[in-house]
Amino acid sequence: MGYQDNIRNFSIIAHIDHGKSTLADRLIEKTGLVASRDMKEQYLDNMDIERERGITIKLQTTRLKYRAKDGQDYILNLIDTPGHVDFNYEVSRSLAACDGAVLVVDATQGVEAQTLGNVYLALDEDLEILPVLNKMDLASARPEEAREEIEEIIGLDASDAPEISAKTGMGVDEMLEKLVETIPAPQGDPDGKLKALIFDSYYDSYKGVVIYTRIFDGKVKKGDIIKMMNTGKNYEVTEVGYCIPGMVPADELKAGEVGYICGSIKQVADARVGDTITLASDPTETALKGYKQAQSMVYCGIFPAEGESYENVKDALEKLQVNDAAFNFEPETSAALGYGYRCGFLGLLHMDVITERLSREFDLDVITTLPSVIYKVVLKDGRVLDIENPSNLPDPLEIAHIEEPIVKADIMTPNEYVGSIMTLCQGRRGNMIHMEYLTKTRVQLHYEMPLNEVIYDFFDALKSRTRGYASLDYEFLRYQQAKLVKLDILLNHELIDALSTIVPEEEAMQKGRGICEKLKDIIPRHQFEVPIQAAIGQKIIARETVRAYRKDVLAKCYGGDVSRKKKLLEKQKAGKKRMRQFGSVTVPQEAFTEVLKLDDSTRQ
Amino acid sequence: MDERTTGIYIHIPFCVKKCNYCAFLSAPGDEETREKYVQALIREIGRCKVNFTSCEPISTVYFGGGTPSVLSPEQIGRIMDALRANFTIADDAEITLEANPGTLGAAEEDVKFTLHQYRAVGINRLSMGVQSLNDDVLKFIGRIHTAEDVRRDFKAARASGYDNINLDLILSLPFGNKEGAQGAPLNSISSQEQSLEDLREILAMHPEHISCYSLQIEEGTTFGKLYDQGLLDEITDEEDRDTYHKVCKALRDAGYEHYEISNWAYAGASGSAGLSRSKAGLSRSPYRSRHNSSYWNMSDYIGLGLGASGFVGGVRYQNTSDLQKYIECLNDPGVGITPADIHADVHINTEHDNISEAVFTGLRRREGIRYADAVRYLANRDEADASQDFDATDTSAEARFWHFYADAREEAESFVRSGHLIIDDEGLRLTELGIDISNSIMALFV
Repeated sequence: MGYQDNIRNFSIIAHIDHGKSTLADRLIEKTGLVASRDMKEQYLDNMDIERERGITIKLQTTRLKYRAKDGQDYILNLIDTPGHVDFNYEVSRSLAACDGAVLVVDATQGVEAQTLGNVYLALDEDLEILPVLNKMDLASARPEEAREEIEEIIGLDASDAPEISAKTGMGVDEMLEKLVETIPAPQGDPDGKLKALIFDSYYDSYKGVVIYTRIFDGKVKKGDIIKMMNTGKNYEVTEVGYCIPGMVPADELKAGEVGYICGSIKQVADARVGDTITLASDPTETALKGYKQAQSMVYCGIFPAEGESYENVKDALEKLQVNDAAFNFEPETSAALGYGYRCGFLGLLHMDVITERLSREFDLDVITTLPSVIYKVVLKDGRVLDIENPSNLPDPLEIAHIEEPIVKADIMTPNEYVGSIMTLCQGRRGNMIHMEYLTKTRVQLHYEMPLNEVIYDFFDALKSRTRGYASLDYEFLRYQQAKLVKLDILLNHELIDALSTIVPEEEAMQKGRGICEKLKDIIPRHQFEVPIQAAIGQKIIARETVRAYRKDVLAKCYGGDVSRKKKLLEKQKAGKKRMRQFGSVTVPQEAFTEVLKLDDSTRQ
Repeated sequence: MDERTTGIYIHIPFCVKKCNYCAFLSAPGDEETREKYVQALIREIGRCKVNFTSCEPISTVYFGGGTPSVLSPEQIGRIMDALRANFTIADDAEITLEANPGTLGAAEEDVKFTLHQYRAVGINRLSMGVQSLNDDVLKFIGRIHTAEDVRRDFKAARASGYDNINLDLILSLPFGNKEGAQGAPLNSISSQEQSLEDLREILAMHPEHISCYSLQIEEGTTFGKLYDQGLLDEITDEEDRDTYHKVCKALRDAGYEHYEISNWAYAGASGSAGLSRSKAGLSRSPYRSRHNSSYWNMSDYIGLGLGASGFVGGVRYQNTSDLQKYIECLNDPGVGITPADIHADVHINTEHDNISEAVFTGLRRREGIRYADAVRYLANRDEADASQDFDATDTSAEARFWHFYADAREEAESFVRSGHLIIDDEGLRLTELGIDISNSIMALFV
């Protein structure tokens, strides 16, 4: 019997809020590698944003020691997965590093679309799946229905799925026993050629990039020269070790084990998730399958706000990029906003996370412009341009046609909301492919939809129309020709390039009207009238006017009013600082992101 | 330099009935509560002196409210005695009582008698809350008096020897709306016509001083609730400003000096002899409220009574607004009170607080703020701040002012170009048009 028989490498798969992080906490606590007093809630989610939003963005991995009822000690490597559709590829690579997965299903909610998405990813990797029913401490738990759903929808035998409460710790011991039983031990060849999978990496200012890896075959130790098979780069290993969950150096990592490797690597893009590590001197012939280049799906402009320095923003973006291979940026100039950057993201959540980190971790005040997808613009001379900034759209006369990205969107919902979701999707140019009843009350809708329609506020609209019950999963499908036009916005007859968008021709009028109305609410009154116009080319299609203000005066100011009045004036002054000057018009910075968050009522 | 004074403000938080637009600290109180309050106030006067030794002599006293005239002349007299016992009150002090029509007596003779008694204890200026001279409007806004009461009381005041009287008028009063708040006056004329009509009637009485305020519908008032229910339309900004400027013109034509955004004082027929003329070419009226002017020129004022605010020696404070607490802590004979017991809020002004308050309160006055008066709060600054971009040898008040407000200058100039602000070598002041948007101009200097 080899050392690998006592190793289990697994992930936890769960829908947001179904208790993945809480369960991970409980496991870490149970297996005693972190003292209870060091336990912050949800140990694995170690970015503030993650903890607040209850989602995992950067992966954590941890090595647990568990003494099973058979008297043997097992090493359990818990490999975390990010929990959002934007990070599908990262999820799949984490799963590839495992031999099995614990599928956590909220016994009060049942199976959700995202759970399903991740289960399919796990099945693709041939993982053994152990279903677990969580939140059994709640009165609303309905384990039998949840079991039925797991069997019907996923096709897994859930008859003896452990019933647990990650919150109270109930049933967790039984689950661990079951885990050791069900999930297979790794079967690598420790004497073979090194073949290790990078499933995550992050930048540490002392050690350089720290690679999280699963060793499939062979061994790696300090001093080895390793080669990244996809990027072709070589590095000397400076340290290897285990994550317990802090970094603890070890002599070597060998087949079946999970740990970290450092090698003075300067940015995470050089140790890209999914790449295969081998020895430069004795390389394996074939890389592990599944490597993909990071592909940005959504772009937006990030500009320093009034009073913020361009250099500071650049520094911060560079620092973030070092740690995030999926994030990229390049300089751009806007007539309205000045010098800034066009940034690419995996999706909207990824974009939110980056912009929020800019403000929280770097204390920067930035303006983000409307997100845009990449359009393929086919010119009459046959050239094809990728346009991710609406202001760069060529003259319509030169354009043969425009193609936009289409995604496959899977929505899972209780059946009573089907009608309302169909209305919503129709309004977003969705095309229903088919609909299936997964159970008597649960429906999955398959749509093809322009990505452009998904990125603004589709998820919010979906949640609000289904009281939070529907879940969404989407992935890129193809480019497709569409009738699109550039919608420009003029303030006081001046074009504001940062407010230009690309919209379907048939919706241009309505969108233009919606944006003008919204801007009318956002733009404060000036001493003169400010016309707001929406235009396609030279043609004005909508107009609103911000009336000049006539009155901003306090009639009374006596002894008791001075302090209050001063506070009011200070507030007024502070409010103005958050404004941006365009010619003679002052626009609050939030205008750029608020403007397209149109109410449902302004759509069909 | 400004005439600097020291004033005492005394808050009387009682009224007969709360008006529908009123958001002041005031409520009807019974006779017993009022007497307890007077006793507490007298104790506060006796005990606070130690904090304000540097303030004498006192040049103005102002009884504000609420409706101070709900206190009897005897009660006001005892408060005045307490003041005289603890402070040196200047012989020519301006001593104002807010006296509302309808609270002074039922017949002209009674009113005359009451006012005579107030006069006997030292009151030499009256401020009367007229608000309107249309009975339907007065009823709708919750006043207890009629137009006839106003005329009667004003006449009685003259007969009792008062030669310095202010009348308050509210402009842009709403009359409900088409849905209709209950009791809304069925006026055949517009709000603006009503305001101008009211002003004409007030001018016919020839008061020395007139205050005109545009109504603001405040949260928590009866009007606020009606507004929320959609039963009351606010007068549009355009109509209100138009009314205001028409009021300004009517008052100017009648010989009143517009010396603060909402205050006018009689200066006689324009160009009349005996009145000094200020730099701005305005006749300076002897009837300006000296007490209220202290709020706009950074003079010291001592606030006494419930919720009263004071500004003494660069410290702003406000008394507690809790009536029970105020009475109890002052009527406890065992311990001497400290300011901390009744001062709910104390703020020591920084240099920046001082200059910005000097500028924005100064801009409320039509003569504006003089550089010299603003920059005296920047004493010692030049030496510490003799940076390369500031020529330390150029120590004119103007240069120091604009050095401090360098960031605001460009925008201030744009207000000059748009006709809202005047900047000259002595200081800056708003134009009549600039008053309409005064907050945005003042906000440059906070």
